[in-house]
Amino acid sequence: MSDRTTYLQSLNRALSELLQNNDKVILFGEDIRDPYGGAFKVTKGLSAKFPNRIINTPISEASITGLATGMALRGFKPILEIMFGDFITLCTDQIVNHASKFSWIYNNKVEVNLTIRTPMGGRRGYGPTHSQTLEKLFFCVPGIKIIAPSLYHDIGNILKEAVNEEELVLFIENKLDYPKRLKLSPADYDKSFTIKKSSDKFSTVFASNCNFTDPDVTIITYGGMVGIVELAVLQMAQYGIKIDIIIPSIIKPVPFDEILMTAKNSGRLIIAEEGTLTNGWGAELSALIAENGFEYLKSPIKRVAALDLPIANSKSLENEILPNEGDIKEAILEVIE
Amino acid sequence: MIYKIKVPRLGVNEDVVTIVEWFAKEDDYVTVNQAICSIETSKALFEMSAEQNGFLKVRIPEGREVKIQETIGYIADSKDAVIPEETSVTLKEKEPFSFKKEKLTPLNTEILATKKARKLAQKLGVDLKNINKEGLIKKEDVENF
Repeated sequence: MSDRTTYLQSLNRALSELLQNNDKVILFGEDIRDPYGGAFKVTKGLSAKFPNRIINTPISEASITGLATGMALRGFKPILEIMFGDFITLCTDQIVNHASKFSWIYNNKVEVNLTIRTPMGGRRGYGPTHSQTLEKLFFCVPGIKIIAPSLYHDIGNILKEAVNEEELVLFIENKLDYPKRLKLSPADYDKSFTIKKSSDKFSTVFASNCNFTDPDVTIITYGGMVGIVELAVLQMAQYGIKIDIIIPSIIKPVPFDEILMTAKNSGRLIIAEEGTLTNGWGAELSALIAENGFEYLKSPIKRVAALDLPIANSKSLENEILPNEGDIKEAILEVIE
Repeated sequence: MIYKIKVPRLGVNEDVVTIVEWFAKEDDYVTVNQAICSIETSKALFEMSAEQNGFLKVRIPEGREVKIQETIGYIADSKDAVIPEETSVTLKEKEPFSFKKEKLTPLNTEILATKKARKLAQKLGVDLKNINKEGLIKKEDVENF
């Protein structure tokens, strides 16, 4: 049976259930109440069901992050929506200097049970300040978990787990994935793929076009980049190239042991992300692999990421700047002998 | 002459806007650049100005939602101008964004070689077309050629 649930519906239902099951859950964000229901409609309908717990806020990301942090300190489970991921820069002081540090500063006597949801990603022609993939800004900050599920994850369940984490969670959604259907059962994905899933609450998905047997290449990727990797893999499979794909849902900290366990089977690794190349997710993950799994590598690790440039408005330039399936194919041909 | 007043596209996400107020009323004489009405998108309120001099004929009243490109009124050279019947705009369904899917090329119609194979072939002066192999050409295929 194919699951007809979209990424957007799954998130909306999860929020509704969270509100239903725990009266400490409260949503903040800009224009998240009906009739607008949020810029991407993730909170559509919720203010009708929970009129006092869906709070429209002023356009002031720093203060609403501070407000939500304060409520978290007093035992609430606030979920904050930042309308576009690009605006997360305005929350940075509250995240970096306050929310992520309070537990440590107060010797674990307090928890900041705060979830910040925000959409990242380009390819819609929204230009340089509404298309970025900026979770990398927080990769170096202790005290934050960063979660960025893909269509292969039950994103609603993962959001519920994230909200119940007793720690600050940055929950990254992808603009292009909102209307797409989740790929949770074999009817939903290409029949050449075998899928395995780890049992962690923030599960990692493993996909393979060779039933995990003797892969030529392994691609490690997450979030909205998964669809592009998938397209490249389907095309390269025609040439008999055997590929495993590793898709974690939690990207900080990365589930490194799980990743290495599968990645070592090919020893030829590509790390693909939509953010810019320099100092990105791929840089950190490659360093971890070089430090802990060097003996498994048969070729240098290849990173595929956006060019170190602002994202252009023009669709054709944007496609050149962001990593596309051609870049993945080139990378595959580079790591194979 | 009768000029149509059409709702412009004001935001990338908006297909429908609301007419909040007509500043100029039916049969008022309006001049170029005079603000004639305000329209609201989900993000902001915009003013529309007259693009011609003439008498205003309101087609859609205040408070109504209209589609982008819909004619909401006219500017006519004379007060008694006869306004033609207007059919309402039907918007094309927005196409969901999708990547340009490259057509899948069947096996063996193009040469696919690894970067290392290409480099070696170039160094040795080997034409990859002469290597008779199905699927991906690897470095060892060039070496063995």
